[in-house]
Amino acid sequence: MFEYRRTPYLAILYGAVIGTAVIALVEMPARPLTPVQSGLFYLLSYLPALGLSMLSDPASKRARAEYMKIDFYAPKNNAGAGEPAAGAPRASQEGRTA
Amino acid sequence: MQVGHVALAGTIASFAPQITAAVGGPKITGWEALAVVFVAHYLPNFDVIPIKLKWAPDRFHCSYSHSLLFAAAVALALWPINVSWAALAIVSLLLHFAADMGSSVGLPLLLPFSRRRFSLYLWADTGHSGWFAFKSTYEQACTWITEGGMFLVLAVRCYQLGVWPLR
Repeated sequence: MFEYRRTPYLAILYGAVIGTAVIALVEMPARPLTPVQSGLFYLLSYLPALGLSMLSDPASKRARAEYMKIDFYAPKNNAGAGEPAAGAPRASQEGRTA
Repeated sequence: MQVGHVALAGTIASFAPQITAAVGGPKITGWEALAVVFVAHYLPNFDVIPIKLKWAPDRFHCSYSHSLLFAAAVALALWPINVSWAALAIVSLLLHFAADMGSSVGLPLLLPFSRRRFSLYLWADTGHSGWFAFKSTYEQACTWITEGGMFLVLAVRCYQLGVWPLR
């Protein structure tokens, strides 16, 4: 899942930034968060932060590029495993919009 | 999007009072809103059932059930029963499509008028179900960003509504 050992640790840093920003934005003065509650927000912030740190990890890019080549919806009886079926309609062939 | 649909559905349900008020529909309870939103939000993915029963090919996934016509049909069917349900359903369905738009499989939103598929190509689609599809989805960065982000948004909504974190 990760090629660089730093990726999950970098995510902790990103998570701290995201968590701090989210808490600063949403915390209500009437209902201040306790340290444990803040910790839960930091923990949840780790999820998107992990994705952000994975953007710079070659393993994630390689996985995406590899899976993009495969048509997982191709009929299994007329194509080899993992091979795109001939003329199989994929989003990239039928109409790219973005 | 896979697990993130749970967070997205919960977030939509958290806005149920605003959504139902916008269409002037009757007030509904929180549990009712949750039930309607979750069923409507997951409805497009029920196309996996005929595939699992071998009644349809794999390619049936993300086809008619992920079209604007399907969303309109569901909303129109619910409208005479309960306007609020119809409003929640159409919002849930459209946001389901928006959440799936990042997948490389693309959504044929204009079916049956056009077979063109729309995609943002943020992550590669690796199948409709099963452990491999699940595992390989989370090997890709953008799924963590979008789905993890959705759980963070849901947590914020729960905090704003006073239902989480519990003291």
